[in-house]
Amino acid sequence: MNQIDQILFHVEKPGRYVGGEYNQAIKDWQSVNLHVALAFPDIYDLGQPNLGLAILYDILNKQPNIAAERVYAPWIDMEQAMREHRIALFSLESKKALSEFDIIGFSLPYESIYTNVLNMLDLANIPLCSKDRNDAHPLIIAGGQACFNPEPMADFFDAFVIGEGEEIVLEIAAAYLAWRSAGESKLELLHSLALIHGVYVPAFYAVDYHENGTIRSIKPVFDDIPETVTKRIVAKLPPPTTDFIVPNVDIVHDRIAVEIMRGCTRGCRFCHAGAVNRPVRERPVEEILDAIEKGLNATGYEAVGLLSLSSSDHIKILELIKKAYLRFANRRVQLSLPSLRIASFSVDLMDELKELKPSGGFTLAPEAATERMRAVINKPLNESDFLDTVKTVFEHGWLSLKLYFMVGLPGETQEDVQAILDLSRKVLSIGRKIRGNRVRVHIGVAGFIPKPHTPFQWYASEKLETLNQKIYFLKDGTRKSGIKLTYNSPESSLVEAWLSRGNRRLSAVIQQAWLNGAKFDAWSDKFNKQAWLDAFADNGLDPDFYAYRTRDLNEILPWEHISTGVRKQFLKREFLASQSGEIRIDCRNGCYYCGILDSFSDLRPTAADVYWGCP
Amino acid sequence: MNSNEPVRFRLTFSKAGDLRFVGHLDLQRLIERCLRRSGLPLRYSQGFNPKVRLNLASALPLGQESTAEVLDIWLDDHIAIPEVLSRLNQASPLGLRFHKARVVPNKMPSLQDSLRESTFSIDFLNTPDPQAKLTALLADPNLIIERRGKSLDIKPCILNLEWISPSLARMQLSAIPGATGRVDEILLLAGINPATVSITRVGMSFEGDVQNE
Repeated sequence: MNQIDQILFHVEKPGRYVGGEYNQAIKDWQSVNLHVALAFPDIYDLGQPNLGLAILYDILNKQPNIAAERVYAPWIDMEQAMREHRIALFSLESKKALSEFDIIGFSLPYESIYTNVLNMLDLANIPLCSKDRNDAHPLIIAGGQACFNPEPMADFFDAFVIGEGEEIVLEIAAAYLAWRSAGESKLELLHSLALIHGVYVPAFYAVDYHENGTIRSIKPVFDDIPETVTKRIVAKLPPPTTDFIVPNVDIVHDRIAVEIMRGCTRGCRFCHAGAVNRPVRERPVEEILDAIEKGLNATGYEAVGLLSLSSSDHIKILELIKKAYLRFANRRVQLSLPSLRIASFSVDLMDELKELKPSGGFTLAPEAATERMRAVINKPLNESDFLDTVKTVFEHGWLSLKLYFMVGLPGETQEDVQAILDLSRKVLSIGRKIRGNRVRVHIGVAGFIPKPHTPFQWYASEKLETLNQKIYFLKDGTRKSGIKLTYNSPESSLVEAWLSRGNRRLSAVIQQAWLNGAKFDAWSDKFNKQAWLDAFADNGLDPDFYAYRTRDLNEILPWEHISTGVRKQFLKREFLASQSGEIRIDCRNGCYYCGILDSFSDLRPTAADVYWGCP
Repeated sequence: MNSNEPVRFRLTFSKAGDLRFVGHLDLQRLIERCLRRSGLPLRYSQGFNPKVRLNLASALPLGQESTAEVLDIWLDDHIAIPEVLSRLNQASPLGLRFHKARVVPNKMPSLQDSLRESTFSIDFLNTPDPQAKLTALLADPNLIIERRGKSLDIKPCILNLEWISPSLARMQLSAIPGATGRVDEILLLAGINPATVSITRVGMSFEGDVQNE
């Protein structure tokens, strides 16, 4: 029995570490000339459902000369066993050590996963910092939503992919192969990567600071390196991936995921995804239906999630759901449609879905409970419309309603927090009037963290103490009320508050925090605040400078050289509009000149804009 | 909803390799999806939340392999045995292999209710003196273990132990609810780490169904 098998007897849920699932791609190691490890820096249970990695896995493995394999962070018991037995981190498919791969691509969806990246590199016996790795080490790159501010992780990665990966992934593979056959130095490889549109090589940019810690300048160190790296997008979404790996063990979001639309036209000012994923691109109804059918046949799954940032905004959504019903009614599948806009139209949509197979409750996200606050965040909704929608939800038979709110939004007052309670109570009483005492109202509350590239990027995060007070207030107010409250502990969002708008000085802090024992920061029971505070102190940096400082509108931000295609001028205008409570309705109906159309004028579809949502 | 009498198939399958690290509930879901991929005319349960009708005889402890797992499924129509097997095997992940299928009467009691015994093959690999250790253990009149906080004598569960070679044994255990022997528990009592041996279930016997013995 080999060593890996031996330790698997002693760890929780060993099925996480063995691969072998249906639709796994496994190739003869010698038969391909490029080995790519796709890494997710959290456990299998959370990483396996990641749609971005599933897409890249599919694209890469369709190339006959490339093998892409998966690797996830081992859970604490497994890590301990691996360290005890000196087993290096290995891939699920071939069980090869990570250091034997040519390229390791990490997915970085959020900041609280960063220390796990270092832990995984360490478990793979690979030097953490890019400058300490040589030609014999794998190329280590990252992509994903957090990479729009790559700076805090600048020391560790050789390159970042900014934006969408569908096309660029093969360009990077080709550049790697060309470099290897030319037999040049690693510097040459990085140089050729930096010339690919959408690739950012942090080592090629010099950052200069003012005395007060803000940035004086960010400049490329070579003449032919772009001053600004603009994100990569695909003009038209390619047909969706359907050959999903079907896990052998239980994971979250265990279902087929079909992205029906990318981007969002609503322009909520707090929303990172809405800001960085422009423009809106929709998939045609038939393509989505075909993908569902292929996916069901290929996986045997019984559930399908139709993903987008705002499902009810897909222009043909009702047609899609009705046709899905006709086509899949006899297959006993459950279709889910997350992120529905608050409108009675959404209730009609859910009605259609219920016909297919009943699912749980209904979820709505007003985000803020007063009209004033909703004007600040640009998620306009008047209270009577909201309550009408709520009424419709209960009238149509739902017994459980979940509402999402944020606290700590810019300019929030005690009245706004109180209003969350008042509104939830109104919702509960409407529900009980219609459906009786079986009605359940559940409110989910999260502390707001300002994100880069959004109109709120200049605001300070709300202080931890204040956030805690607001949460306690809601806890008190919902006690014995029939309203269930769940919340993310504000403490465990600190990493996000520190890192999401951080500069590259934070690389040293992240490394020190990891050395101090920080890992699995996203798991609130594992978050080690002291490890982080000590790491900041060791590096002479003040965490409050990153989390609690209001930025000047003219400050050079750490991500100034990374462009989402949206102009900074537009973000400033929106920032000012938030202060005057000015609303900008859906930009499908009228363009607010965010800059996307100029930045991607070469890609915009010329004739019929059927799949691109800009007016 | 199909109101015809369903056709009940009794399948024998093996669970091998890395699939031994997949637990019973996970295996059940995995087989359900395998059945859905197979395109066979599955019978679903009635009611609000219809599920594929399937019935596994017995949970296999994590880490053990099997060449003799038994499962009942119900189909809407009669399908030829070779087709049932080939469709299932095409839809199976690594380590899962269906090798026998036959039609059994719908009125037969459930697999769990009729299961009586399980037989295991134990390859002791590099364990020193397994035969001496087990012989010494079995000399005890009682073998008390703790299961879910309760003491239990598992001596009566051990029906037979046969040595094929000095490092390979066959152990027959009773598998009646409330009196189910577990190889790993017995090995631990004998001072053998079950993680260092290879355990395979090679047979199950059911009351009133001689064909699987």
